Amino acid sequence: MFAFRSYSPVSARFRFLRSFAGSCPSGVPIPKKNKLPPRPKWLIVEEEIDEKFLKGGRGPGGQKINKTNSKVQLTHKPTGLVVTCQYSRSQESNRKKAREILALKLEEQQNPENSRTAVLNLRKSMVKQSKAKKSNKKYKEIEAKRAEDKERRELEDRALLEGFSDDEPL
Amino acid sequence: MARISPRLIKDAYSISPLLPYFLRANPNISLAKQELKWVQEELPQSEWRKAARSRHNLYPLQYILGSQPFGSLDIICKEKVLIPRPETEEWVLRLCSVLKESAQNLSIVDACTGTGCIALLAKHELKDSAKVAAFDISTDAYQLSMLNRDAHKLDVNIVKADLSEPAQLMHICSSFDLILSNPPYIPLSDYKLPVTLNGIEKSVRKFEPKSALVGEMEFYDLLVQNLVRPFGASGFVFELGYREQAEFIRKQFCEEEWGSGILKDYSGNVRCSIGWKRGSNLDILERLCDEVL
Ligand SMILES: C[S@@+](CC[C@H](N)C(=O)[O-])C[C@H]1O[C@@H](n2cnc3c(N)ncnc32)[C@H](O)[C@@H]1O
Repeated sequence: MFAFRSYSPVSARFRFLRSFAGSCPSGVPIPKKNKLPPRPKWLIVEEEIDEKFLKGGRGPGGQKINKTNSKVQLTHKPTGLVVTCQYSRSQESNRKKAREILALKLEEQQNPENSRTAVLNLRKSMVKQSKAKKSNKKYKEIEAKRAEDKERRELEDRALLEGFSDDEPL
Repeated sequence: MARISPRLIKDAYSISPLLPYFLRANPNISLAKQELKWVQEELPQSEWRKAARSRHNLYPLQYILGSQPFGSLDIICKEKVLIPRPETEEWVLRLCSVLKESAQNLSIVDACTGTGCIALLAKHELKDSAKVAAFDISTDAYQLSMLNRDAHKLDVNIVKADLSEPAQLMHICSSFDLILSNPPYIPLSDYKLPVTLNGIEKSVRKFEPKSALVGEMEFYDLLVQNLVRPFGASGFVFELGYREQAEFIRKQFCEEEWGSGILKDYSGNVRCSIGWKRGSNLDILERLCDEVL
């Protein structure tokens, strides 16, 4: 029974995590949350952006239609990067958020190692490791399963929110 | 309306048992999911089921949630008053950014104000550089616009008045520089038709007030005869739905004295008629035009 369990993918995953955590040099501090690289707002130059509001394409609009979504699409003209945002009911919030996303993506391209997203990801994995180290094996199993579920749910949510293509009719 | 496929309903159900109820108003899962997310964020759990049923019945989401964002304002929405549209939000913000650059001490009136959205956003954007008034014939609209004004603590003079009664308008102010309006502009024949035939959405016909929607040329005629002329205005922006309406408005003014043009919305549809007295400080309105008439 024990031998069988040790082949289950979950515990295999744990051995990997443990060894990974163990090999990490213990002296390196986790980047502090308030010391992360700032949001790279300076990368946004309004003149370089082409902004579109996608609210169901053609049709009469105005008083005849009552749309609830307000999707914003930004194209960064120099690089051709395209981002969309529609998380909020407020067009103003979507415009702001879309610019933040675009700035992060531009920084990732220009400075992959020290970008805000890179440090954020590093921090996330270090926090995870140190948590794993602290707790006992049983707790770790539960925790990791939870984290895994959460991550999967988040990925699904994100894919649904951002991932659908723009030629889909709204 | 196209039938929703059983497959789509099943997919939606597997995400959340409430999600299928949002498919009639949002034929694609992403949009339905978003609406459900907003319902869950903004309403207590005890109201989710009722909200889902209402939405299935095509009841407007803004009446369910009680508001609609408009620029940086959250406008309270209630039955019997038209919900502010994104096309309106767009032109009001564009107008304000042009006015902010130069115009000072403007006196503005928003005719047919509904929720008050146009007047309130203009006041919010222009602050002390503009004096803003608004009126509507409907008691529900009048009360709701007052509620919105107080919620945002904006100094806008709101009156209950009828655009076709000059005597009632005289009480608001003695002169206005700029007249704004989004009057009812859907001809009755189109009001009865589905969107696919250039008519209107079922949800709009079923739940928004007909008296806020149906009109043809008469409101533009009244806006010119009872506001622009007697109050000595030097500019106007009127929302509309048809090029014919813009051409009708153009014909009311002599070309030597008034410049006029059309503003198109983000979908490329003709959306506003704009006019400015030549040589006045409002000739900056020309910058808003996508086409000069
Ligand atoms: C299309 S709604 C516009 C509401 C608001 N301005 C907006 O953009 O959301 C038109 C409004 O005109 C009002 N109205 C209709 N006839 C009127 C009249 N004779 N005098 C004043 N207001 C009138 C209606 O009550 C309605 O609120």
